[in-house]
Amino acid sequence: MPRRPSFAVITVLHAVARGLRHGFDVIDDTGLAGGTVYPALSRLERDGYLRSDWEDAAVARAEKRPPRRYYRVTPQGLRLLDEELKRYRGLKPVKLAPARRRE
Amino acid sequence: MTVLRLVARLVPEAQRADWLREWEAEWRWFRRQQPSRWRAGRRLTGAVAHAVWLRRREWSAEMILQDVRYAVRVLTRRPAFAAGAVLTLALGVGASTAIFSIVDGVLLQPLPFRDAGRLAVLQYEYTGNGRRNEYISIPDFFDWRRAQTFDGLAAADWPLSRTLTGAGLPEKVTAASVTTNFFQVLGVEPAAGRFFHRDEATAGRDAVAILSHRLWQRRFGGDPALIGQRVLADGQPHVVVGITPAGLDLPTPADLWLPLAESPAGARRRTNLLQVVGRLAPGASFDAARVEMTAIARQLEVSYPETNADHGVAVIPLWDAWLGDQRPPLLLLLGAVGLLLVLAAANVSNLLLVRLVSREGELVLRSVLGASRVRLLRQLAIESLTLVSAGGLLGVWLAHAGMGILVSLLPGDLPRVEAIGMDLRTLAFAGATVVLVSLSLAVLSARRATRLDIREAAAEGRDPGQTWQRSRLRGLLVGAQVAVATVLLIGAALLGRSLLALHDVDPGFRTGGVVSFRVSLPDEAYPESTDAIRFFDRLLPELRRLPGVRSAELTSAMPLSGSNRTTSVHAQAEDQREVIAGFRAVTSNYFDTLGIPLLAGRTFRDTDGPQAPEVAVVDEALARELWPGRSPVGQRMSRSGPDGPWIDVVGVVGGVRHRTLRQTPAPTFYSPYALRGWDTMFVVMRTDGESAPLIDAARNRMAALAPDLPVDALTTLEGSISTATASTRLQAVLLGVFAVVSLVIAALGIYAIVAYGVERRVPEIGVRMALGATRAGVVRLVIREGWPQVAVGIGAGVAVALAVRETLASFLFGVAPTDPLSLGGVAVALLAVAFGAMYLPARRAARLDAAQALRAR
Repeated sequence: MPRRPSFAVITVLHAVARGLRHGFDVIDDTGLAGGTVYPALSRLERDGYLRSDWEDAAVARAEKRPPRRYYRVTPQGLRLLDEELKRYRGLKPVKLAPARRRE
Repeated sequence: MTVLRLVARLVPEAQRADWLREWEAEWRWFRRQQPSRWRAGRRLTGAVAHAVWLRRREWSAEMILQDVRYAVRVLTRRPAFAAGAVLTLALGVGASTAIFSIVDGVLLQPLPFRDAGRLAVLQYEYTGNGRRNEYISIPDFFDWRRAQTFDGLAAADWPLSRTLTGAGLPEKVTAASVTTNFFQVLGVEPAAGRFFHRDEATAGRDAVAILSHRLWQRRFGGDPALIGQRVLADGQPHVVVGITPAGLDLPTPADLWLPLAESPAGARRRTNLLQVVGRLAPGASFDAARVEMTAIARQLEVSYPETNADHGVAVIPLWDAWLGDQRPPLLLLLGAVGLLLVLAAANVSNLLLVRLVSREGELVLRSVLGASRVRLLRQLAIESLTLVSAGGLLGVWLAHAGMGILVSLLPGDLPRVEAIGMDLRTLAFAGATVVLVSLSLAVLSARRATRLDIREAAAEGRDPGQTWQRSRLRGLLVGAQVAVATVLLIGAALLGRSLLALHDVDPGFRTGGVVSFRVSLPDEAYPESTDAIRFFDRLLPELRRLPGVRSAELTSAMPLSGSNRTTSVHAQAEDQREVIAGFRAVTSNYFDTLGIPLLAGRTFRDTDGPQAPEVAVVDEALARELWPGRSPVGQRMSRSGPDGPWIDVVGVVGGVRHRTLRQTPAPTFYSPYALRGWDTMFVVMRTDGESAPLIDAARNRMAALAPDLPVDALTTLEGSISTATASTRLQAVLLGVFAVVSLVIAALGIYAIVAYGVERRVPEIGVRMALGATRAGVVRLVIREGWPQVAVGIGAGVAVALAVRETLASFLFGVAPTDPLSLGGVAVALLAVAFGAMYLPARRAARLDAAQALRAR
């Protein structure tokens, strides 16, 4: 990616890595808006971190619905996720200074 | 899901199908959860956001930059084509920008006066022959001031010359004596100080002066403290009261302005000195002013029949009087260069179209890989824009670099030259040109590209019907290019011949080896005419003693200088003829010095002085008018009215072209200098050898005799001839350049269309060759395609040239606008070039391998 992916994008990538393969599932799980998740999915796919495909037609037919698109993380995507998670973990917890009383 | 289908319209075409499929599938699955209305609404908003995001990405700066990079790659893959297109465009844009800046500076920019449309120039219009005289006598001017239709009439005695001394070197400047309301009538504000007050026209209070902004900056450093200080003009002190505004362009430009006396003594109704301008009164029209001035002129005719007979008044709008002459040639130039630009654009368009054909494969591939039609069109548009921008930038740079040379080529008397330059308006024009050209190019390529029914073209072959249809448009384009090139070439050829004819004109005097300069004696040191005569009596022998000098004489005005004092002359004869003639004061040997032939009688002798009866020498033209069919020698004439005093005519000389080379000599008579003793004269010296060293020698001699008098207007007569032909030379050069460029462009255009035809017909050619066509046969076939347009183009061009022959004639000299040599020569040249341009692709077609051709595409 030309610039560092945003937290939302990493969240989406993480969700897919965890096994949430369909767009609406990612929306439900992460709580992010559709207008955030889908652009993230498109961007990640364009940059090669995700791959998408249509699910098996037989499965869909059995459930009497059209086949859904599902996403998979590529090795490149895993590497990115690794780096970014390391970075986030590197942020040490911070204790806020005690609130000062107004005189 | 109709909502989703609606939203899908937002998605770029190439991704639409997949997007809809995904979202519909997700939606169907989602509905099974029976979501609340609110949840469903939110999910749909996400769809809209996604669609918009996809759409925006197509038009993001990133994508466009990608397109630009791609365009540059495409163009550099064929450097010859790109260079040709860029150069063509640069020439077109550069030439039109440069010419526009000239036309803008001289004609289009508004005059620097308040309400310039209400200003007028007033001149005499002689009811006899309709001729005009811009110089008005002082008493007439003051009588004209009675007019009610004018808010104010002002006058200027110009040009005068004064020598500024005091702070710095003595410097001769152009001066003008003006009525105190001059600047107010014109409607300008002073840059510093004020303009004249009414009472400063009276003697005793007129020792004031106004300086030009240019002089103020140059000599006094723009010092505001100058106001109120004294400067010395011809030794007389004047208090500087004001400075004219910067960049003031006037028909009477001067560096020093002095007040004109209100009722100067000794002003004669016969001596015409003043140039008059006026401002129309509010509500008055030009027609009303003309009616009133005619009535006033008639009253003056009645009151002063000896001087004002036949003196009508012309009221001319200032713009027309000053710039009207410049309109035709400049507009013609602008038109020519506009045509050139159209040619250039059409040509590049043709080249692009030829290229597009060979890129069809690439476009098909990109389309199949997912590029939408919009994307492809955008790509082509960006390519056009890149080409045109590069061409435009180069063109503007060319215009800027060439501007200096161009301005130096302009005729010296072109008004408002200072306003010419690469300013914002010119840059805006260049920018607009670039935008217009790139839009047209983009549209043309786009139309071509969309007609490429891309998917079908990949599957099937081509439709020959389409080829023929579009060939027609392009054929028309080429025909037009050839026609324009023809017209320009004819114009250039005719102008070139005019130039040669001008050079051959006999100006009436010898031009080689003559040097002249002007001497102005200040009133203060030389108050009487006898003082001036004495000065020159000392000067001339000194100059004659300089090595290499054959003779040194005086004249009051140089030939071809354009300046001509005129007066009316009466013949002493029964028919009482009267003629307006120019006059000059000269010393005895003047005619010999300048090689003006003596046709009858004698020239002046040293005895023709104030003690002897007054004599004059007339030229052929005056002799013909006053004494037709008789010898003027021995006749008598008067310059003071039909009752004398009479002057004896002692000789006739050949006519001299006093104003321009084109005008035949106007009636002139000569007076012995000793009778006049004027204080501003030109010294003419004839030398055997080189003129240049003579100039220095003369300057030194002058410095020795009169150190305060600068040597001014130093020139050789050859230089004057050169200046006199300058404007024709410029027109010929410019038109010649245009013509050559347009020829190159037309040749490129012919090449392009024939090459295009060849590309499209490669399979057909293959078939013909397989069926036994010879190489020569193929060449003939290809060339036959291009000939009609060329022939029609040349014919149309000649027809246009013939149609505008009246307009053309006004620029020509010594050659008819229908000159068969020029027209025929141009036609032949064009045919030769066209043939060459067609032959190249024809030869390539003939070299095709038949089998390869059949296999093509």
